[in-house]
Amino acid sequence: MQIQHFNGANISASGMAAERQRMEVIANNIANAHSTRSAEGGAYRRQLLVFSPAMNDRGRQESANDFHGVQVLGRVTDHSELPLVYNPGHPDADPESGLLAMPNVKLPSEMIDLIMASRSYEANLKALSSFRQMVEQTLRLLRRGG
Amino acid sequence: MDAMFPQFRLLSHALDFASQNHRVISQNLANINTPNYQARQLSFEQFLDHIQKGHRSEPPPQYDVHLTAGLTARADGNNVDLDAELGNLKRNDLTYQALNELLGAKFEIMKAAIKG
Amino acid sequence: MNPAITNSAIGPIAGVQGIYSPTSSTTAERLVRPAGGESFGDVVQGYLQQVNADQLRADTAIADFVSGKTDNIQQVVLAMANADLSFQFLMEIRNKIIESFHELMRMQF
Repeated sequence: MQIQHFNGANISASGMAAERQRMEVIANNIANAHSTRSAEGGAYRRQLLVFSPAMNDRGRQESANDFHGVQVLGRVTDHSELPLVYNPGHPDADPESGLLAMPNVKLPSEMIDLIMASRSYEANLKALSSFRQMVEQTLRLLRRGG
Repeated sequence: MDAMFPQFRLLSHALDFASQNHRVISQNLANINTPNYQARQLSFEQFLDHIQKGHRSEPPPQYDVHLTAGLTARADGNNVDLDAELGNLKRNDLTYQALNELLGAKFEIMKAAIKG
Repeated sequence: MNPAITNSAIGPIAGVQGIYSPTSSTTAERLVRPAGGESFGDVVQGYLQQVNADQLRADTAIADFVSGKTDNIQQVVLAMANADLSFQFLMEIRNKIIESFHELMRMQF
């Protein structure tokens, strides 16, 4: 068991960690937007993170103490159809039809997700620094009285 | 059980409400990209009720959390409004700061009175 | 003869009350506890208990915070500030009492 002080900071920290992981996954998607070979065989498939609100043991959220931020449940693969491009010269293309399966990564939507993740990260950072300010202000009450 | 300076209790309970409120806003911000997450808010009515009844309880109560009404959900079912929540965060911050300053000023007055 | 002077240490303080109730009887018991009011000793006693309660409350708050039982820094700081104030108040009263005691001891009869 770990003693947790200042739990309010953990909420924002969990949000920042989740958004950072999301940015990494998005960057990986963008980097592999043209990878036609992957470890699983075939073209690279877009990766996604699954988020879920972190709750207390009873799984309820009735008072502020039940809030523990967000948790990343795991990484899943986007199984939507791979777009086919006619590219007979490519070594991974189908030899008969000349069609090449490309990754199902859509750059515009990845870029939008990236911007969203970055804004969300900043929002969590703001919440964290305002929490820090609150604690500092409170502690100052003891100091000024000397 | 009453502390010696009950004057501080109103301000301290208001501070406690603001800090619980901060938690709720942080939770909304942390879940801004969680599908199907519904924005929540702390019951200010319950706080007012508590204050009007003389706010005797020690420690201060845990206020109820409600789903925020009147929000439009995005395609993924999440209805957290980032800018509104950032506004709430700032407002709550200022409230907390003001209450804290008032409490500090009250301490100073009491101290001056004691020192004579 | 004034009984306050012949009394032991608490005597002079009790004697102060005697001045305000000149019609009370001459027994020391009556002077310490005048009719229809708390004695000075009772007030101080009650006050001491309150200061102690504030200290205990601050100790409990600190213990709860250290052991992770509470996360509420506001309540801990407030309990501490409350204990600080009431203790300063007590010290100020103690100084005043000692001061007036010395004043009385210096009096020429």
